[in-house]
Amino acid sequence: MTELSRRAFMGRAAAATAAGVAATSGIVALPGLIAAASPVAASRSTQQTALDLSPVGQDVVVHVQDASTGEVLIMVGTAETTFHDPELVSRLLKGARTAGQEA
Amino acid sequence: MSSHREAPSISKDPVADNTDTYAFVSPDKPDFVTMIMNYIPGESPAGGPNFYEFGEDVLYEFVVDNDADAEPDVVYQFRFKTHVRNANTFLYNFGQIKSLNSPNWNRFQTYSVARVIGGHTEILGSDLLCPPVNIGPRSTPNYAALSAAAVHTLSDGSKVFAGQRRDGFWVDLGSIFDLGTLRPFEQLHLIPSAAAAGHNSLKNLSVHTIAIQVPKRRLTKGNWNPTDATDQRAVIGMYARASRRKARILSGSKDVESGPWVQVSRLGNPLINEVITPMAQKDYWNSEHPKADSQFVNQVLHPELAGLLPFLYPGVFPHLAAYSKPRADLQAVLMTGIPSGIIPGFQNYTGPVIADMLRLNLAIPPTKSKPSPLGLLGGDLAGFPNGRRLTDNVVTIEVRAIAGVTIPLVDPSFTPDGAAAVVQDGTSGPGVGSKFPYLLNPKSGYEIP
Repeated sequence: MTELSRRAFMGRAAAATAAGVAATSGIVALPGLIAAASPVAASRSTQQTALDLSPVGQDVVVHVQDASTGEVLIMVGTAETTFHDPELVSRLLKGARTAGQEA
Repeated sequence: MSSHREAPSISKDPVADNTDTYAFVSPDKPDFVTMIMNYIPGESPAGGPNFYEFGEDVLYEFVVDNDADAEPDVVYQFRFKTHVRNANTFLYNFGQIKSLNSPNWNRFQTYSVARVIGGHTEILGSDLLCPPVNIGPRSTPNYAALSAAAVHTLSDGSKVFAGQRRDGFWVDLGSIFDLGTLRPFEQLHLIPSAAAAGHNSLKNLSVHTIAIQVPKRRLTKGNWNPTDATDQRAVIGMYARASRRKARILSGSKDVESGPWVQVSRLGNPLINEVITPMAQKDYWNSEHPKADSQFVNQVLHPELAGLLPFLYPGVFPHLAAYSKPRADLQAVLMTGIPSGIIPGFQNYTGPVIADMLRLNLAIPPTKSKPSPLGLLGGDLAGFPNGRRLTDNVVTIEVRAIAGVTIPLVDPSFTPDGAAAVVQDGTSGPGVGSKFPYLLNPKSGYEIP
């Protein structure tokens, strides 16, 4: 993985996630990712956080690696990192089920 | 062969499929090392209208280990970009291409070269032009001039070339993969056939070559120029690899690519993944790094082909058939290098780390007069498996090694079968040029329809 601190990555990923996830499922993932990075933040209502949808300048791809554990791989540029965010995965799966039904 | 379409996945991805890797002390510039990696197996010269080119989405790399741990110490990276002057035509060229900046050349490629060492990336060259492919006498009337113009000098004095070349490798694929038909023993095969001359299956075909000629001191630890062949620090390990981005989403006119580079092809010694690695592991082998090759060592110590030869040729290889010890000779030749004290005046040992790399002793001067195509087996210390030259007949060398001629290096009690010293596929190569990048100009599509 390209040298990139988790903190810096979070900052970039937070700004970037909307585009990539939206392309996948139409779900905004930013609050869930922040929650995964901070146990304290995880207890907060995601609705209280303002959504930052400004683009990061690179494509973002999110892959649910293990739905049962809420494990998500996010890729931006040549970097990747893994999060555990059951809330995000739950919403992605909900979107996936919807997409599956429409297919 | 030697690594053309050698594994199921990479055989479907030609622009990332490394066919051969070479590393040798440059015969005309003994203070330089030439490294070559070839891609796109079996290019037909008549490749129009969409002629062969490098992958823009592939990272091509030479990887050099100079401290005997099979880890990358010096890496040369190549990235390509495709340009189209007029997107509203299907033509590759509108007229004759007489220079690399010809406006008649519609679709062309440029590339960048970077050197990575200790996490620091140094750009050695950018916007370097590849030559066009060799189309024919109307489109590319002086191909030699185009090719020569595509040899570039980098900011550190190295030379580089990237473009189409005639494949320098040779082999009779039709014979070898017809149940291991080898010469001169066709009549002694389990299913005998009449003797027949070998046919180079790659004759007149092309590849896409990336070649770099680097001062030796740019590759060694401590930036020195080795002169003592007995000094273990004079030996470098090297291999080539191709990588793709981890994720790709097909998205109409502009695909999305993201994530880290993931290795999809690697090549150090010829023929390893081809005939040593079992089918189920070939793709995995391509994804792994040499430093992890201890997991594959059993297939080197007990190569399938060594068991097949006595079966396919009953009575021809009786000593090999009776030999049941692990093949420590092959492990040394292919996975660790040969230590001092085995072959007078020679060593290319990089320590006990099991890793498939070409190992080149930089202190051994090039053989300028009549290099032996059998390399070390032919008494030529500058040849394979001391690195690999374009003239080394690696098919014959490795078949003979597997047949047992190298066992006495580690087990003097073994006497090789007489057949082991003469078995071959019966083909010869196209020859080489006298100057970098040494591989010959490709045949044109008009010439070889």
